[in-house]
Amino acid sequence: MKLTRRDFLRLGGLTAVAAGTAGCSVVGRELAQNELPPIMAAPTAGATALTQTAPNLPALAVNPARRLLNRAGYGPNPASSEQINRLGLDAYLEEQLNPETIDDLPGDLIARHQTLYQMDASVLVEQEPQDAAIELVGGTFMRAIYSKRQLYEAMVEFWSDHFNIYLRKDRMMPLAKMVDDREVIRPYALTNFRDLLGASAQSPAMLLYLDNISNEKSHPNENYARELLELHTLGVNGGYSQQDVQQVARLLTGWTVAKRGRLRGQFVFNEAEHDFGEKQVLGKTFPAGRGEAEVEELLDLLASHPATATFLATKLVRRFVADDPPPDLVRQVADAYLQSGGEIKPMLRVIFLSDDFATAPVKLKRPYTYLVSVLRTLHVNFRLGRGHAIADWMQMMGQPLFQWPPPDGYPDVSTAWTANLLPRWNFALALLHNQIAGARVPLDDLLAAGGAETAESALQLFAGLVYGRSLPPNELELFTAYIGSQSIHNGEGQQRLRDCIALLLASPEFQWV
Amino acid sequence: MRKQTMTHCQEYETLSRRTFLGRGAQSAAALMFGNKLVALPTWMPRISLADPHVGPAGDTLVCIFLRGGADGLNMVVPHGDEAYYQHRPLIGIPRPDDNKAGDGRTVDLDGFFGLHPALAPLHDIYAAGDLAFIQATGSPDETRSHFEAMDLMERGATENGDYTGWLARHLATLDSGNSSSLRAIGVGDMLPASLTGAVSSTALQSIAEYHLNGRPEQIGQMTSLLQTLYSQNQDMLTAAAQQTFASIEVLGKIDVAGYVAGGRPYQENEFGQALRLVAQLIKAEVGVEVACIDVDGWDTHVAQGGAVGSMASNLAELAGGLAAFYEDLQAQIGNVTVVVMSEFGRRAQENGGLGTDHGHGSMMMALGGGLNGGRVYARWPGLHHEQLVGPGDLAVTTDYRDVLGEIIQKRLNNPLLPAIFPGYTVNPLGLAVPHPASTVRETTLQD
Repeated sequence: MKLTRRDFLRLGGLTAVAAGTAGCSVVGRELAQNELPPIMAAPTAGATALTQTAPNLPALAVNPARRLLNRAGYGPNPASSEQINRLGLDAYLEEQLNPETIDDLPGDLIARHQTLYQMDASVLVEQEPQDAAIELVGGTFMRAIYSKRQLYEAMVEFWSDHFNIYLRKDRMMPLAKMVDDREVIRPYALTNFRDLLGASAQSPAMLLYLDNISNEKSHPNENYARELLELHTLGVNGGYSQQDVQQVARLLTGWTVAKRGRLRGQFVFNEAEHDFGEKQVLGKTFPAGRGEAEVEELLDLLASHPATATFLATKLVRRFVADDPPPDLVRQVADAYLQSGGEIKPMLRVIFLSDDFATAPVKLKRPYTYLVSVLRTLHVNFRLGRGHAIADWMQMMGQPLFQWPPPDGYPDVSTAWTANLLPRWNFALALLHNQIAGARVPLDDLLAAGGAETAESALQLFAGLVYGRSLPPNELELFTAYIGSQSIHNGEGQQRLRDCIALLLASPEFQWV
Repeated sequence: MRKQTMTHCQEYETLSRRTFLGRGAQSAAALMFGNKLVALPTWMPRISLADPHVGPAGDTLVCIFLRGGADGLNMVVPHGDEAYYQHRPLIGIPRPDDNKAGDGRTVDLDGFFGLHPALAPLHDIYAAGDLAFIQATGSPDETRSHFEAMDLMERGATENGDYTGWLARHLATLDSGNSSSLRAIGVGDMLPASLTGAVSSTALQSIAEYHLNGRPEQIGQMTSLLQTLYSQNQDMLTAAAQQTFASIEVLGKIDVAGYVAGGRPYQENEFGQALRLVAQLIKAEVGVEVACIDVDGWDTHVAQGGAVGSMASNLAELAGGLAAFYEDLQAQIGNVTVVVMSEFGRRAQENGGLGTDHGHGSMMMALGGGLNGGRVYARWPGLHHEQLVGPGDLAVTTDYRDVLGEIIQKRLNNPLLPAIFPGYTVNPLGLAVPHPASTVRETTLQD
């Protein structure tokens, strides 16, 4: 990343302020204030189209730029709106696919203030796990809100579900998951699946989570072996048998985490516990006497398997396009995977440039996406304290980060999330009334930036931010009646405007992407 | 008949069951048109497998799902099967007559099976005839995958194409005249898959906190504005929102602070509190027909332990919760059935990490006043090597749908089992006594 002189000055000021405080707490506030563009930008590139209907889903008029920002990230904010309008959809996508080319001061600042995150694994292992949990959840959340590498952050979330790890499985897990985030998920989130898989297979967090640390030659433990086939690569109907699971478990014996010594907490291959006998997996023979190398060969076999291509393509299309993945698109995405030797970017290009993407039926935002998108939409100054009131909201909504116990990751279909709307509504209300520790809605700044003086103009301003459209007369009438004739700049009038903005965010239209 | 002694608090009277039946009668009429569900608004998840059965709701069903594949062999221990101890030299639970084991031994049930010592609080309920165990039960699914197994079990079907849950189909095919928004609830922040497609279901974390958070003087106007916004389209959110608004109204009338449990106190853990919430709703008579509770932590590949250890702690929570619930609902237990189930059991042979891998045959519990309890129902397949299936697993000799099907028919008054478990013929075990409400109905029909 190239820093401009102005950035350096800002950075210097920030680090000085932040020194000795809880990581990125100050960063968010400073960033939000510094980044507020003078003009209230909304994504407008491309021609608005009506989404396809599907059972129980509404058809909505969707601007393609807004859709891309909503799905390849956590929703528009003024900066990303400006960027996509300036570059156009295709160039914006290409930039997002190459996050290293994006000048991302906010994201880099947040990363820089994660002190534990930067520690060498051998030092990290001595730290307090709860501190790591707080820093990891907070850092991930802050980057989702503020990083300009939005697609990258969305893919980090995707792979964090795919290679799910439950933070509370073990006391040490937060430390191990921190390393997993840093050395598995983030380095390969947009590169090559085989590399990602290989890194995950050597991730102490994964080996701990799926019990491979107790997979020994005399008593194989099948847990990791099974999920490696079922959830990480082939998929449950990917053509393997219980026998294959047991053979893979034997292959992975001795593939473990050092319990003591210089490498404590790190991946080691323990020959003494490895089963050196011959194995057969999916019809392929792994001759006796090989050892560590046969696992790499197994991962090659799995990563290049057509069932893996289809499984990954289906999941990506479900996440980014529709609950009910269009089979043709899945095939094209799977082909892109196989033809590129497991590259992730070609799959995403096929997805985001497809006709299906532009007009696919709406999906319900997952709770975490909802939460982050609310903060982005209102350009909230978010200051992450140690207490983590925000973690409680994630919990109430049903998606606290890294806390899904089973290994399949948080559900990815709309119907999984409809029964629990109330916490979303209450989050919007609490936020607008500044009842969430660390979060302040810059209402005056936004009103000034949007030049809104009256209730009507204020409502249209926020409808533009929240929906990307203005309110038709009947809706406008509802809201203006609610506010009444009072001034929106203070007292009861402003309280009611805050209610109205919360209701826009609580409304059905903002739940969809 | 439903026992009439349940209303303790005055606050509850504003919300009597009669109110619900009254409201229900109107909407039931709206739903029934030419014996089809056609009058349902288009946005409602539609399950129109069969014409619904019209009749009173029977028991409240509390469905507890132990996620991860609970080790039934260490819960209802086959201490009379020698092979059990050969498979489990380290984590096996000692025989009831093993004097060396002290408190860490099996609590005998019937001379062949016995309870894990941490489940001992359940023994009194068993002795009272209100608790039955079903061993070597499960689904025909043999993938040993959590997700596949749960998916099939919760959908209650083996063929693809129907993605509704068995509880949702039960609710859709029983027109009990109950239009409560709380007819089906999942305790927690999500619903289980068994309720997928249910017209009426709510995820509920707390009664006291289930309200719109705003300035009191503005709540009414705000609610009405939000209701308007949610009624502009007809989609899955419309239904969900209407559900939410209705539940806010009902739950707001329950006196939570004044609630005193009728027996031993509920433990402070999540499971205890979930059961407490369900008990409050049952006593408040707010129309709950189905309540689901998920309990995590049963995937014990490692450090499962034996008479003590991590699984024993889970079992202590399970037993403590159920015992408190049973005591609390003494007056209502004749109209309550609790089912405890898991997606599969675990390997007969313990593994190297004092744990067990995914297996097949499992164990279910049924608790309630309308059951032929005090028995372990088992066509025991045996644990000797040649009697095991797959990689060394307990065989399934009782399909889980036989247990659920009988309860649905006899306790929940819904005879439409083919619509609930398509492609499967339920073979009742004789586990349940027919619900009085259904008997009354049949007499009426004969008249």
